[in-house]
Amino acid sequence: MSDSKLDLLQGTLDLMVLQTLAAMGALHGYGIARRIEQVSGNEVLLNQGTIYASLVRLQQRGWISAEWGTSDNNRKAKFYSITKPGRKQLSEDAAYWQRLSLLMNRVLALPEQEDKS
Amino acid sequence: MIDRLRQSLQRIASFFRRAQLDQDFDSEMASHLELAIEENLRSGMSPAEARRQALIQFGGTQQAKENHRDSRGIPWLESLLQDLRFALRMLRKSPSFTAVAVLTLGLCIGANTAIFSVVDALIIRPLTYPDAGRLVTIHEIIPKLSSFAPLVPVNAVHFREWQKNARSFDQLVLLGGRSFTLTGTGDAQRIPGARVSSNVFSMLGVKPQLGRSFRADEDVPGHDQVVVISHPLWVSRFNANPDVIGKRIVLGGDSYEIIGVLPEDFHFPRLSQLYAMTVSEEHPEIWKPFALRDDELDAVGDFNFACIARLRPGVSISQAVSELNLLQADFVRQLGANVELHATLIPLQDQITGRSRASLELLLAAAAAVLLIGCVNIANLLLTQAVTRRNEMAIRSAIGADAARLTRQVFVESLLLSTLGGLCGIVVAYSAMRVILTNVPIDLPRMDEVHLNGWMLLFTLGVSTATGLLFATLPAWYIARIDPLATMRSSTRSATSATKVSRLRSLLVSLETALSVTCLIAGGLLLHSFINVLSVDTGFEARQLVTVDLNLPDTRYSDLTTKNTFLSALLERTRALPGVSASGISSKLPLSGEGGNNLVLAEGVDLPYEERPLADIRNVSPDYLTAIGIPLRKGRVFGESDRTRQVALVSALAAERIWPGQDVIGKRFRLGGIDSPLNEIVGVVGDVRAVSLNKSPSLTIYVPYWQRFRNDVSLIVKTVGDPAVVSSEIRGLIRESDPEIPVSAFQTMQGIVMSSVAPRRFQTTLVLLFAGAAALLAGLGIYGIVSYSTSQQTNEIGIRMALGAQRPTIARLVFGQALFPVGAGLLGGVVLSLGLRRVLSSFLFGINPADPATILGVICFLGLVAAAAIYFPLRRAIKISPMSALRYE
Repeated sequence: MSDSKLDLLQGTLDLMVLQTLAAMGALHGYGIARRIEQVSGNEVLLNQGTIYASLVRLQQRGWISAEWGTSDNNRKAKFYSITKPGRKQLSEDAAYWQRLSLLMNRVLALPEQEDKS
Repeated sequence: MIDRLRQSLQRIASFFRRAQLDQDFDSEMASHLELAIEENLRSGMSPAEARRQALIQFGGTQQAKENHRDSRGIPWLESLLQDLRFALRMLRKSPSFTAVAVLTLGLCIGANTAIFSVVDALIIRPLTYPDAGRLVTIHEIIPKLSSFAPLVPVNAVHFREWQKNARSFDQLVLLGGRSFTLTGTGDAQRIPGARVSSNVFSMLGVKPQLGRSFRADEDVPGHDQVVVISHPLWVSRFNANPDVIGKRIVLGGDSYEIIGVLPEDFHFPRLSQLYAMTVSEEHPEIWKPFALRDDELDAVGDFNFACIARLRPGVSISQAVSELNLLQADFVRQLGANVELHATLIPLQDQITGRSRASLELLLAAAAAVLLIGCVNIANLLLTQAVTRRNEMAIRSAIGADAARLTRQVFVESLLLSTLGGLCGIVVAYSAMRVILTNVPIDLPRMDEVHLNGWMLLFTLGVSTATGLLFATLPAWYIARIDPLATMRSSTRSATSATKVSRLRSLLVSLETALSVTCLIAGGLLLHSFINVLSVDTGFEARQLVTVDLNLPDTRYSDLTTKNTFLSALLERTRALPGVSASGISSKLPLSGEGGNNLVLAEGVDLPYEERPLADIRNVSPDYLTAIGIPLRKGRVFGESDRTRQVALVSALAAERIWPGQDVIGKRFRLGGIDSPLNEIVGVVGDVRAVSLNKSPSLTIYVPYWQRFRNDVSLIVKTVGDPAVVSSEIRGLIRESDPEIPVSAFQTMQGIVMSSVAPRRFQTTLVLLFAGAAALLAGLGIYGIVSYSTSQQTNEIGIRMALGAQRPTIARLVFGQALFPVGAGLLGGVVLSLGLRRVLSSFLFGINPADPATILGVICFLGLVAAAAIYFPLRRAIKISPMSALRYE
């Protein structure tokens, strides 16, 4: 495993997918995966295949919807878009992540104690 | 929250659309890859490179599929289904194993379910009356009489006192047996009935289906000509006609108005179940108000009735008992009588089922033991299978299955097996219940309330699951400990696990041997007791005797003279019939309940009331003793010439107890108070076991039938010819003399004897059946284990033979190995049964629960079974030639 890439925390992928769909509108799985890779600047260790587990989970919770359609270059693909409850969930989760990351920043900013031995 | 719920529902939905969703995901993946390849091509890759990169970026497609499935469906259920499919395949692959296991389980579980459903209906489920937990029966206690009768029936005067003063009860009800002769419509018919306090039905919480129940003002002599009838009687005798309400019927010559019909699902206990003593009363079909007569209000005599009461809410039994005892003490003080009087309560449920409870628990224990032996056998078979499948398990473990998954596989297989067994058990239970219900001796109460129901199915399910888990633990334990590397490296087992497994097996053999020894000893002791009861000296001769019960309607036979005229004539005409060698009448036949119990006061002895001996008084004709074969020991039997004198016969025991060491002929005594007439003893006769075969004879006094007035008599006839012919002739005779006398079914005395021991026979048969099953299962189990272990030892045997060991040496070796756990089990079983001897002794008659002959016999029998089970596999093992033995594996 490359140690230069980030391993995704449980649940973070779901949030990324929601945010991507909220920002970009309807997208197919490949599009979502590519978008996350681009945004992360290839910082994320992501097998594109894993995105689908997240998609089916979100879909079952009613936060995104899916429909077969045709891509720009005339290929059949399944398009996902965020739903209203999805947007609500996204804002809740985003707020949560922001609080968590602020907290983590503060904790990590504590000065390290001198080693007295 | 709603989102989660939604997700769960979706997951369940996806579970059922697996194939479609898989397909959908396949196309989605294909489209994903195409999109990726296209983009890669656009960035200038060669087609092959574009495809390779797309696949790398995607990651494992199989893995993505698995993840997709896991996150959308119910992964544990899916793998469980997989296990189940696999388990089914395994069972199909070894059909004989499956059949043996399922049948064994089916029989064991079925037997348990059947017995349990009887236990459930009789003991566990409360009576069907509302709030039945507060219903109790009341009995009186006369401490001085307690050696003879610990509890006595209720005295009507005492009942009135309680009714007036007791605060512990909401309601109290007095009951007494009373048969009715229904005439007027069709044949005269004898119908069992009861006299009851007017509030009996409201206390039991039942409303008549038609009409009304009794009013309080009907509970008075003179106003009591009303009856409530049971649903079955309404259907059988009145064609379920709703117009019967208000109709008048003739009972025993008196006219009664039918005021109510009880609902179909209402069960009234048999009166005999409510009494503390042995009385023969049946399920009442007709109820009339009690209407106590003045002549029944004797404060110190006449303990004749049953009493049911409903406790006030919140009052405990002990509170109610102490209140009753205070009332009894007050009452005795008021009377100024020198007698101690107490009372006690028994919950109605216990009162009704008490006598059958222990017997049913014994049966349940025997059935459970057989089930346990069955489980041991199957555990063994599964353990054997686990050992032979260790390679498969090792491979599965090597390619990533964890121990939990492998053991789960074992549990799934066992549970599948036990569930199949349970299904089979339901069928067995259903047929067994039918056999039990049709053959059950009448002594078991509430038998009509027993049937298969939801609880039974739940019980079966519970038992099957429990057994499945039980017999899976051993193989699961074995499989969880498989070391894949060691297992696959060598085809033979590692030495340590082999000894552990075989030690475990020996333990199982010991366990099942011990259990079946215990069952067999219990069965043997019961059988011995049953034979003892049958061969006990009854004091009478039951062969060639036919009996019939007569009830003389009291309106037309209201005095001694008319009754005596009728009975003398009937006896005369019966005696004259061809095929009759003797005929007599008695107020009570042997084994049909206690006669009239009365206190005896010998002339010249002034004993206080409570110290007078109590005797069973029977009114008989002179020929009765000849007919039934009770021998005359001394003096003479009374005869026609004694009609004008007060005479009596006493049993040898009565003579010995009441007049110890004296010549009783010519001695006189009184029955009842000091002013009652003196009876002179003219003879002493043999003792008879008249109440029950396993109860020693009681003090008995025979008084000529013409001295005492009774409307219920039994005619007994000794035949020389065919009893059936004689019976029909006697029936004709009675009909001719008085067509309004109801004639019961004729019974042979032997039939009465047999039905008196029917409960014991039923219990003995079932326990023996279970013991036989236990022995068979134990034999099969030992056979299975020995044949497996000898087949595992084939190699060793071959080596020993090749090295020069003789066949007998090897046979001794193998036999010894197998016999050791059996011996330990035999010993364990004997110890167990000795430990249970106190429990067992209450079921036994005339035999020591540690009877050495029975124990020795059982050991020999089971030893032989075990020897046979060992011999056959052993013979196969040593017949094998050393060469082929060495080539084995």
